[in-house]
Amino acid sequence: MATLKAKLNLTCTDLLSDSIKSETTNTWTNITEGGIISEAIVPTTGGAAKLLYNLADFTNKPAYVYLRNTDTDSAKLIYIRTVDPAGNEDNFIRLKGGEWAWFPWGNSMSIKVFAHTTLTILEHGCFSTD
Amino acid sequence: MATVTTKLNINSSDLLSDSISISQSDSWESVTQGGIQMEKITGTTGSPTTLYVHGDWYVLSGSAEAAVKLYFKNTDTTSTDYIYIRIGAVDVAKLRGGEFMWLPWDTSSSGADDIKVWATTSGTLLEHGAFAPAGA
Repeated sequence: MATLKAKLNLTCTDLLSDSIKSETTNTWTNITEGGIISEAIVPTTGGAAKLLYNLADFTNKPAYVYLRNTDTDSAKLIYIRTVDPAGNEDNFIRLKGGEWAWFPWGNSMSIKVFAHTTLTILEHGCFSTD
Repeated sequence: MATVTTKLNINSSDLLSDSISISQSDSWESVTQGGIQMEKITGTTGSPTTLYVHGDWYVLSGSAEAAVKLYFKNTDTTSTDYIYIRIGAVDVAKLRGGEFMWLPWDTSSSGADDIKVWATTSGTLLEHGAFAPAGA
């Protein structure tokens, strides 16, 4: 089993009277599957969204999802959708060019993706245990 | 307007034949609303606590500027004291004690859902924040 570390730094010095500074490191030592790939997202509508990660492959497994829109144009959006076991779909993340997301997957839905502009590149990965 | 900067590092030296080392920084310069707070989560799966109401954050439908960034951290030291993040009827994330998440919430649709949370152990502490640009 492999070790995976994810670290988040969040800072802001000028929003409040006091500055915001948060740093968190998560370490997992039992990762068995995962990796990061880059993929061109072709669909441009929610109805045609591509399945990115299937719930059936990760049921009851702790899993961690990384997503990043690699485009340099902030207007080239990538949408991430949930698909519940009944097939209902709903957008929940919108990544502008350059933006990223990281979350521990709730293991209650599959994940689909579509782009505002076809062939926008998504860098993504999912890390899980057995 | 304020600047919020986030940096994510992902590292693994022994999962693949080659090591993984990702470092991404995102700096957002038009933030006018937001902050971080600590809250005891008493909601349950059948009655989750509403943290962020979509209607409070929704303004510019379809605009790239309507993004709201969300931060969550389960501050509990017991990994099995879970906090779930629910959007609509779906628990999109399961935070074990000590775990964090960051996501740009899609608020661009007028029909988008609120952000709700619930804990497997009542009173588990959640550090959370939302950041938004002017007009949101």
